[in-house]
Amino acid sequence: MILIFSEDNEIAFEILSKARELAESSGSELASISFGGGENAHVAFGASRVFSIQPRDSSIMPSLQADTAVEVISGLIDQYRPETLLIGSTKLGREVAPRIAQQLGVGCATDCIDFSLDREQLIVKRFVLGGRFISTQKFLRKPQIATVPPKKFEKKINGSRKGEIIIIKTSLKPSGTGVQVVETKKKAAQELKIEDANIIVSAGRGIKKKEDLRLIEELAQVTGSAVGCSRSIAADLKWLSEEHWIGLSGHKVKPKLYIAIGISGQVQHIAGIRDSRTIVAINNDPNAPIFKACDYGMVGDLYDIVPKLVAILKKS
Amino acid sequence: MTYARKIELTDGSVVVERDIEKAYEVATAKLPVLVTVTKEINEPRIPTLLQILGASKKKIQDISPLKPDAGIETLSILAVDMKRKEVMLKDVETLAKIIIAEKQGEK
Repeated sequence: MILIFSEDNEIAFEILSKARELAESSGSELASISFGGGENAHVAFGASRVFSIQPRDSSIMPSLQADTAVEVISGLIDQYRPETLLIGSTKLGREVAPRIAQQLGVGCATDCIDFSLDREQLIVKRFVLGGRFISTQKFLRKPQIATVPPKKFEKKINGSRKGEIIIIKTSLKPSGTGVQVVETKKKAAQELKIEDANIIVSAGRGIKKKEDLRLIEELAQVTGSAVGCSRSIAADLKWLSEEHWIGLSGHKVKPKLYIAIGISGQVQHIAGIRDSRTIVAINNDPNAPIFKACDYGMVGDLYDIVPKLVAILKKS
Repeated sequence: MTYARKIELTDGSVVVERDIEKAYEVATAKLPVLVTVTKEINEPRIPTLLQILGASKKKIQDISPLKPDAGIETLSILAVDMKRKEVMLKDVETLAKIIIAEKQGEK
């Protein structure tokens, strides 16, 4: 059995769609865990069995804690012995996966970008060494536990698929960890989820003053894009919030079009934009590494090029 | 406790503010406790020149690496192949045309 878990249904559907291919090529059963509904959609995206986790003594689903998720998933592993467990790489998922692996004394590979299954042997690919290299790895023991980043795989729905839904009522209160949640403060509605943008205009250290970000914002406006930035703009200068930071330690994005302005193209930044369909770069240094990682490049002063570009795009 | 962006130690217990996906969560736990922190936890101070000089005299203890059994075997590590066109453009008009074409292509 291949078992899928993500508390975020969208990510669960993406993983299910990919895992469906693996399940068919290897003849494995594909099952998923749902917290908080959407069981039929789990089936349509590929699960032939859905474990629907519901609270025992209340109709309200509490917010899921890692401790609870670990307990529930470990229980299912005990009972059903899946050979592979794929977990969505959210903050919760990245905590849950290694904890289960540690309990069972098996391997855990995080942020896997590709999978293949040879009989029951899972082989994964993931970025290593600062995003410069791709490592191919296999698991030595079972269950094989891997986490999958959001937006890595296309969702593929098949509404006519049939599946079994198993309702599991549980207290959803973890036993004896000693951690107590006192308060939950909702984050201010994020004006931006940069991963969702189709086009991103991104600013780097070539911008001399904070006020000059206006140039980038104008270009973003005429192109209907989100504004991103490199590490220095977000982390060192703090001209933009971390929501805009693109790179290995910031957000990893895969827009249709990425326009890098005044970004030299350090390998950590490239690691965050590698999956973009088209990359355009403007930089005054002809030797900047970004020109080796872009589709279209233009050497020149961004203070000269960007206003001209905005003017042309406004007209058309 | 994971993703702590603030930590306060009170008598025998710890209060942390966790940065989780869509919210900040304030949680407490009795000591001892293992806490992992996020980037916002602290601004590292810049050492003074004296401290930098002093650092060279500090003894560094070597520890031989453990051989952890990760349960995973690496089969290969290959440099990432960036297949990009690397076309250099001379004028802004061409650049604008490409952006317009790409923008239309995304729909």
